[in-house]
Amino acid sequence: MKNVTYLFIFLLTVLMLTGCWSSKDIEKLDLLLGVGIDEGQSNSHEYSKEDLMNVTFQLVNVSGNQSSKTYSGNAKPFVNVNETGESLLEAAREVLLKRKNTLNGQHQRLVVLSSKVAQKRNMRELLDFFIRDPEARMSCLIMVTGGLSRDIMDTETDEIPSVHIKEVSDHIEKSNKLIEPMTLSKINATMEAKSSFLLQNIEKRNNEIILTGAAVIKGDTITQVGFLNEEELVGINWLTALTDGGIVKIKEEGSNKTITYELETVDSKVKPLLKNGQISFQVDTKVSGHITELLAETDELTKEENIKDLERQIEEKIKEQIKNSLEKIQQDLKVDVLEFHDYVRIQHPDYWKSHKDDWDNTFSQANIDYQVDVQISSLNMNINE
Amino acid sequence: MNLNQQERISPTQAIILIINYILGVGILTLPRTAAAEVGTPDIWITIIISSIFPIIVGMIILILNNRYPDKTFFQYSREIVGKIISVILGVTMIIYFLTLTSFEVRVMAEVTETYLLEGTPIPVLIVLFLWLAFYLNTDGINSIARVFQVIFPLTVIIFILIATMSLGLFEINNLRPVMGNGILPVLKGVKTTSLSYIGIELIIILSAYLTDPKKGKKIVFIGVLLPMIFYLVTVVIVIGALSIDGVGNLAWPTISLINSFEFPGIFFERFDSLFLIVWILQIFATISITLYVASLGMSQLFNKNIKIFLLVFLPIVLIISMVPNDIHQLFALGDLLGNAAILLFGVLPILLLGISFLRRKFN
Repeated sequence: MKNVTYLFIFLLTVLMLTGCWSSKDIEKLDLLLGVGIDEGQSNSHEYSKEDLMNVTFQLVNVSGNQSSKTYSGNAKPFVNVNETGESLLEAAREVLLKRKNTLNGQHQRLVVLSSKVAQKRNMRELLDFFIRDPEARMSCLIMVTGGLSRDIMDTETDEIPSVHIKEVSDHIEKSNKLIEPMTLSKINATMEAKSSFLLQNIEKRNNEIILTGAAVIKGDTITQVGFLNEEELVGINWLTALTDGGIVKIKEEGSNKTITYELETVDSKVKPLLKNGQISFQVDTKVSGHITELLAETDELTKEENIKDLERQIEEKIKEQIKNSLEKIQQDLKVDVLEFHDYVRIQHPDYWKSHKDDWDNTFSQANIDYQVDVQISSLNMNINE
Repeated sequence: MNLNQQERISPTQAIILIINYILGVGILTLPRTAAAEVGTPDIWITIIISSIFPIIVGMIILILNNRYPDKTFFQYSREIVGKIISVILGVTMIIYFLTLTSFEVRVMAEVTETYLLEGTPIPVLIVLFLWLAFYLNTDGINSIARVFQVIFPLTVIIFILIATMSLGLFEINNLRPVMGNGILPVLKGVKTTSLSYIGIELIIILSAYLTDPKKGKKIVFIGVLLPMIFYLVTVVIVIGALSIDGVGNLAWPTISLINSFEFPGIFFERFDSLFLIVWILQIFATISITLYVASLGMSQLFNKNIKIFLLVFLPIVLIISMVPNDIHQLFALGDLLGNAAILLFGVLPILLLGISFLRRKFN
């Protein structure tokens, strides 16, 4: 009897030790790194023209990376697969018909939407697939391109384009021409809150990828309503102070030579003021930094009054940038991409409650006062010249 | 019934038993369920306030227990309400514990299937875990307590590690304003958050096993306070990173949070699996203890060997756990269990205490 029991236990153990249940070999997976979504061209009659999209799946080319004997060294490290469908899942399933491996989204870094799609379609519909799919990571970034996302995905960079773009977007610390990268988890929260937001814009220029400007997404429709160019984005960044990096270029008065001011810290204080049921904002931006490149002839920067004068010129330059950006978002686009609603929500909860459904309009009529205070902290060791 | 020295547990072990029992499904879902009820970022206040209730419940059960020293609820209820009613109450309680076991093991299997072992059938995962729990239970409460003593520090270390790492996404503005809509929304969520302290009812059998029964109050107090800190930290970092609007449509907000950051360069880049491992240990702790209490109840009600019931309950738990068809039904079962817990451990002990008091007075 005892022996039978042992045999039984032994057999059970053998069953358990056969190996991993439903394991997948890594070489049998197509690792998905990025997805590009473009407007679909209906080349078949299967689909209604309306909601068609062309999806580019960027996959790791395992054999290209290995530089084995059968492949020459210059094989691309990635493969792009183009599919058309009415939904992402439909397109993803089409990939199965072309590739011998199955798709795996665990390493997805990027979703690029072409501006045409973003203007036409509700972004929630487009991104729902990634938010719901437990495979996709919530740290995946969302960006927009004015051109075709297919072209972006095809660009030759020293790395796989999706990975390259994600790494470039980390430069927000050093540049005020970028926005804080929008991850899936953040965009999910923003869309739920129905607030307007910015998405990083990517362009392809001279066969190179460049991150420039931003796409403006309106909160209540979650569609793209416009673009901000680099200069306008800088103006926005003065008010939100998300980055401490960047430069300000000014022309020396008179001599017309360039002086470059490098930022060290940018701080902004936003105060929402409520008076007679009218909301207005008071923004104080404090900037400090140093002069890095002095191409001008003025070499008397050691003098107090000259520094003051320079500070004033930089202040004016910054104010002008802010003014242009505010005009654009308040009068042209009528959206609050500055996240000023957060300050209202926190400091005037009652006002927020009654105005949150129409916030973008309320914001575009609100008066925004801004003060800029520039300090030149050091002259970068050239003090004796 | 005399308990031999082997089955005694120290107050520290009792605290760890309670904490491991309380920490379970709540850590993964609490930010969403509480956010749905409260609607403002004040969930953390709700969690602090609602910790009062489990402490009160624990204290009442303790008073009741102290009138019948060295006996568990299943043994002394007979002296209060007579044989028939005590069997009915006991069996109801056992059904509750079994259903709770099924619920927890099913949630564990669902999450494991989604995030770790895609493609593995859910019943397989459940069966494996139930066998392990059975194996742990065969040696009684003392060995359970000792295993928990290993699980607990591991949980604390990994939890602190992950909490610190997610600070990069933390934005204080997501937690402001504090009580912007007054105290009403805060109170609205009290019931939901109180239910995340389910587990304190363990004291109903636990005080019979204590080496030092006088420490009961301390055990209840610390046993609730430490899980409260866990919940507080979880809710603060999850809401702080994902905001109150962002957690509404995520089934497992805490996992989504850990999914949202990466640390390139160190040994691991992603920490979801690490967190899930700890969390699975916690669920395992919960199902072992509930399965044990259910079997212990049966063996004490009917004076039979506990191992028979442990074995009989395994297929029953498996069947109950497969009843919910989808995740919504599963969460509905969780709500049902919460209401049952309020009746069984919030209301019932007060009634029994009253009856017991009257009985002694008239005898």
